[in-house]
Amino acid sequence: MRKIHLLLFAMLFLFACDGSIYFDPLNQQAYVPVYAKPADLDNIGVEAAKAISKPGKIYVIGNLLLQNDVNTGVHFIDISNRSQPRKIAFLHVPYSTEISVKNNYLYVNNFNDLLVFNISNPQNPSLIKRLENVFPYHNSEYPPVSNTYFECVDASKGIVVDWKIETVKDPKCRR
Amino acid sequence: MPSLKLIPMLKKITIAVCFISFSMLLLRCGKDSANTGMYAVSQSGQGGSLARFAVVGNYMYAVDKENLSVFGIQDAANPKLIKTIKVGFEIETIFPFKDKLFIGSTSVVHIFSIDNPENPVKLSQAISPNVLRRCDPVVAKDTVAYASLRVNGPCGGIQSIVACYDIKDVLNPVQKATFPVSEPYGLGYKDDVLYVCDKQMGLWVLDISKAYQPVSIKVLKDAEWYIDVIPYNDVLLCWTSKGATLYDITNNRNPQLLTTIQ
Repeated sequence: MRKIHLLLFAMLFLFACDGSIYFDPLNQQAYVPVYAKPADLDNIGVEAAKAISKPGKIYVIGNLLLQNDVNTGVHFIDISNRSQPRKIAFLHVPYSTEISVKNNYLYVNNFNDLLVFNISNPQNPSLIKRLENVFPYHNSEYPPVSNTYFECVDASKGIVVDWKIETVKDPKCRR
Repeated sequence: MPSLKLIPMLKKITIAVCFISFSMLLLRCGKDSANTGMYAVSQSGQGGSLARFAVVGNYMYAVDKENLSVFGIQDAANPKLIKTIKVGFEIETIFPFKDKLFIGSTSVVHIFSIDNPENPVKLSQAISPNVLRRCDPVVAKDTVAYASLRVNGPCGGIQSIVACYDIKDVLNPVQKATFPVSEPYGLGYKDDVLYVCDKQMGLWVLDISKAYQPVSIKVLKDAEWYIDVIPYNDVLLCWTSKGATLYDITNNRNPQLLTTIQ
């Protein structure tokens, strides 16, 4: 029991700290949804290799290293020469975060959908299938942290693909 | 406003007490497909320990915020959603180990049996008594599992650790040792060396030749931060602030920087 008391005591501190976020309820730092229009999601295609902007998850198969560029797509990197890897293509997939491969097929999420690409030619991946609404995008209903106020989601503005912190006046929603 | 804030707080404390009373260990889970035993499939690759997708044989398991979805990928070009199972809240990672799936959330780990791969069945859930808010991925090596347990943010007040578990009984992990770190994320091992990503310190290289006595060999800092690693034969692939950083780990105790892909 003593341990539980200690833990509860520690937790009080955790929540006490969060209090600073809504210190001034009328003008405070809070999470605000970032919206996208459904049409933006379909903008999928192969582009020339380019520098990474927001490094995401990695996946390796054979001599092919894949790295997600958070919310924009997948970099294809040839690592057959370990000390001189070569970027070979960038597959633009909006709102992608997860990657996995079986045989020559790459699975990538595209907001709520799962896409399948044939990557037998990694320089030219081709989209062969889309499963709609099978992988709910995380953090689309509320921000990635709990115990905070945030600006409520307004579905008429589009779908929520990300969250940013801004100074807002009296955010109404809380989790 | 204070009275309004108190109610959710009390609720949270009640929930926390319930979790703590489980008095089990929290394993937050990643993927290490090198160790999926007979389920390892050569045609699939390897992800890091922070993955939400896990390919196990003819099935892909995917976790979203609350659910586990099973996709049949016997025909890899034509995956089919077989079923979706409600798991819990704040799900973050999935880690297949032998015939089990460890599904990690910010608060508990859910353990599913995939004896019938199309119909995962929940076996138990565990929580670490050491970490209130969240802990991190797991890699498993035979009968030993390593988890990085992270205390988030400046309010944590409890030490972040790498924890070593005896998992001879996979449903009842026993914590055997801990190693203090700063802000750990993904981890992976090659033979008797464990690599742990630490967002503040860098990449820990730990000697685990004595499984329950991890000893620091060195800490690498070739990028501002490290998030995840994939030990892949003689090369260590790291997800870093710069992009992907590669090390030669022919000598696993002494990683040599090969290059950084930006």
